[in-house]
Amino acid sequence: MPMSFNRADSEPDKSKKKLVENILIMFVLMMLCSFLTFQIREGISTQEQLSASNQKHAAYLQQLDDLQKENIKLKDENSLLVEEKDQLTENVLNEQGYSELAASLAEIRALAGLTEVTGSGVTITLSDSTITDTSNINQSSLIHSQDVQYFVDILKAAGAKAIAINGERIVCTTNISCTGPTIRVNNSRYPVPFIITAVCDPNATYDILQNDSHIIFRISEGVEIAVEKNESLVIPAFSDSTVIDSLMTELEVVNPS
Amino acid sequence: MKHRMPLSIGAIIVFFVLGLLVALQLKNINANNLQTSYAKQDLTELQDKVMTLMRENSELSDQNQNLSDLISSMGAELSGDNKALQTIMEEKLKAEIFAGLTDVSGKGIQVFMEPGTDASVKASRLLLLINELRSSGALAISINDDRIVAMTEIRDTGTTNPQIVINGNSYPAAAQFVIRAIYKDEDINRGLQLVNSLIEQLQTVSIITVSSSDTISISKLSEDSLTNRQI
Repeated sequence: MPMSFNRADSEPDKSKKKLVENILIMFVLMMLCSFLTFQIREGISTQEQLSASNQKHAAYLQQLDDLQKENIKLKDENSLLVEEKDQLTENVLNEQGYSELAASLAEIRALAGLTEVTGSGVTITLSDSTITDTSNINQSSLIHSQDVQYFVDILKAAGAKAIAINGERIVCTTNISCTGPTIRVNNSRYPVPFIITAVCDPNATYDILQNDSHIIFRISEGVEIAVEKNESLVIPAFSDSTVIDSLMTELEVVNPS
Repeated sequence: MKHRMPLSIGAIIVFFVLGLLVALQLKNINANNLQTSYAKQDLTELQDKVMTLMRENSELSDQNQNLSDLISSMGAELSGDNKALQTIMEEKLKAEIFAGLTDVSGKGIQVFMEPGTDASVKASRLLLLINELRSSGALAISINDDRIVAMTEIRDTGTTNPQIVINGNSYPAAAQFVIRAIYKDEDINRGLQLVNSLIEQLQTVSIITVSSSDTISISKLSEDSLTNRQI
């Protein structure tokens, strides 16, 4: 009797337990399944998002590339047109008997930095420190806009006739400023290395640069400064007519000649 | 008891997989956020570059169009009336203004600099000031009536009687220097701001005062200055 009683008592108990277990397992499995579905759906949507953003990215890169090509073409065209205009101006003046005016115009344009200048001079290359030890990299081992400005000022003091930074002619409105890892000269940005070219007395300028205490100090801080004498350098003309025109419209000229 | 063992093992496996999935999910979400933020940053940078180039290119095509027009009009009138000459004179005036060969006037700021704890004004301080004026958009600048042009040098000379050389002209460094700059209306405040922060930076070594004025006159580069003769 006790046996049968026991059995009778444990049977429903057991099946009840089993039911709870089954429900639990079902619940866990359901969660698992829903997780799996969620995971897969998420994966698919991310993939879609990623490929969409990649496509956008590629489109912008393509556009940038096209624009850069167009920019180079336009700049070439611009310098050709400027050259043609100058030549034509000279022809007109000479043909009409204004050769004096032609000469004075040429002088004025040279002084303003609107003509190409050829001659002997120096090339200065400025680069960041090449020390790869990351623990040693600090602000002073990088080239800053102030360094470039310092060289430009020293070249002017040494009597340079024309100066350019990475081909960008220094004129009266030129402003050299830091824009993150690049520097801005005449509204264009340039990354390192900065190449400063100057038409000047190569020997005298070379000596001044070699003996300048601030330059020696900067080299000791790790920046790379290379000075090279050149027998023949070409410094391009300044040709951004937007800047030239803005001075014309903004400045009030008193008794023009 | 015997048949419960595999069930527990099963449960362990199931929970293990569940845990793994949760972890994976979390990681995935984090990685996604990171990736999209990188992509966004990269995209805005690209967009910026595209916009800048587009503007630059459209300006360039405008310039080229103007140049072409000018050339064709000059060519057409090469043998004709004086309109070509008129255009040339206009170009000449433009070049003169850009070269600093005209007297100019306008709104701007006036700065006085004299030695403080430094016994004399240093060329480096004047250069700092000039560069600040340029970067804030000054259209014309002069120091002691010497026009600052593209190739103007500003340098120290002499030890017992220090002088500062500007355009080949010497000025006693122990005296006061007057710096004038003409600005567009909208840039004057920026100029004042930059000069004021320079005053703070140099307050012990130099005494600098600045004021704005509606009538700043700046004379042209003198014809016998070294800078003018050098070219």
